[in-house]
Amino acid sequence: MRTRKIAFVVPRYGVESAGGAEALVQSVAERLAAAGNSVSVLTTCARDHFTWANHFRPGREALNGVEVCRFPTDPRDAGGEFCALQERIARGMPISRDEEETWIRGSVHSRPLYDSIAARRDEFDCFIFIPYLFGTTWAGSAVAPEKSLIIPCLHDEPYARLTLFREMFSQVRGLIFNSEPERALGVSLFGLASEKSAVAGMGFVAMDQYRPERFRKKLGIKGPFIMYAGRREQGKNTPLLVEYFRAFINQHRNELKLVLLGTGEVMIPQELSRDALDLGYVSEELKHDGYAASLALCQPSTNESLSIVLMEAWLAGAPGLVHADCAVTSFHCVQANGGLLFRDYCEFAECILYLMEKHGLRERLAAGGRRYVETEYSWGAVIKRYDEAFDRFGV
Amino acid sequence: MNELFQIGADGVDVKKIMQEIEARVARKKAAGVYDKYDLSRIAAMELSNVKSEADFLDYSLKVIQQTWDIDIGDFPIYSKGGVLGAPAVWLKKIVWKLLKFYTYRLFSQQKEFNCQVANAICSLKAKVDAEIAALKKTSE
Repeated sequence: MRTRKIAFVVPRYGVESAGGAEALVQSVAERLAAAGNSVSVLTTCARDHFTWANHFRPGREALNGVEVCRFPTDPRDAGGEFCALQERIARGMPISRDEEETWIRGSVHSRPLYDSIAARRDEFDCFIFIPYLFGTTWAGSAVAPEKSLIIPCLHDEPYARLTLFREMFSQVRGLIFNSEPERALGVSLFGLASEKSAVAGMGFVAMDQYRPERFRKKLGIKGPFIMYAGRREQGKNTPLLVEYFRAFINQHRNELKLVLLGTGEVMIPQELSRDALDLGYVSEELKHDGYAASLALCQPSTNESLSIVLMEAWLAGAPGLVHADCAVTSFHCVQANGGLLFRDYCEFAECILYLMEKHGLRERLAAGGRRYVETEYSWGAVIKRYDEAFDRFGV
Repeated sequence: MNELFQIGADGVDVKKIMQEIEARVARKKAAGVYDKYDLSRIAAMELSNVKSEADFLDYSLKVIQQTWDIDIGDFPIYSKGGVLGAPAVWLKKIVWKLLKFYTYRLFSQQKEFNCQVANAICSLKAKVDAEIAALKKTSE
């Protein structure tokens, strides 16, 4: 395997409780470094993705074998015009190319970071930008497009249809997707040539041990429960899951519970206060114990490019219960024979009843998922795919 | 599809299971099982049902009607594990009781304001719809 000098460019790095893209870049950067590559991360001093205020000190540090260079964010004008444009884009309303640019200029930017890319363009074999939706990716990839790769973490959303992103994707050297359905979406949206795209993703390793009884004891849960882990917000369909669960409990009056982990606010109706348990942000160990104890990991989001929690749940021994309208998670579940799919409340309810009735099905589905992760999303397989992608792009 | 991603669990075929589940749903729907329950609240929350600007306004209004009544009551506080789990729960319960004394008045006022705003927006929408309908009738 050829070793390379690689720079990741990401708006935030080393931030606890950050999103999937941040988790992906940190784990991939560290694994590529462990495989013998020289890996740097060019990032901002921001910690909060709402304000993008500078929190960390600018400068260089070594973190788990990776050189991390932090640069201050630029002052932003995220006022009325930015918000109005964001609202129009999110609702799929047409806006002009100039308005698109006004909007992206209100995103997070760092002029010193762009200057560093320009100054170090000959030092690195490639710059890898992640994810597609931020100012640092749009403006940063324009500095040295011939050396730029993007891990877009693409969803089928109105932002993906903006002209400026189509231009950005056409100008860079290549795109690395997290899953086959994400690549198919990229091809259909942007008409990408196959030699310009690859699939890699991130790797997963099972925990040394899972203690489902510890989780049950902590929460005082004896019966079955379905679990949700991740950001709790409208875009992830968390309110819909709570409504589905409310309907299920009203309809069946059984002992099933819903356990929600993660960041963000979730409104649990008073009538569900004993059946829907909101734990908020918990330790990694407790989260994995929770997967192992659950009847299934429910992923209601239709906007996923990989779904880290689904992979983690499979390794812990829980099957998936995913929204059929999400091309990525439903692809994973069907390929792995590792989970059930629901398109509406009735299917959601029947999937749960089916899992509760069919003895051994939960374990067999989870085993299929685990085999899928160990085969396709082991670090060995992922680093091999990154290496093949670099070869394909001539990096 | 890429051959790389052809895996599967022995003896389990998710596609077949889903066909069986879909058949069960169809049988139950035909038997009227789901008719006993009001699923309109869920249908209103399905973003996939929002297809146009008019749908979006209706969707937002339904969400406002469902969410104006913010929950200011007590809620269970659970341990997140670790040695400090139990003391943390105890501390949080004390803090909540102390805070409630100060915040209840503010939240009550917010709830009243939410109620009035939600009513005003819904009345405004109804009034505008009625006036547009009247204008259309006149122009015809």
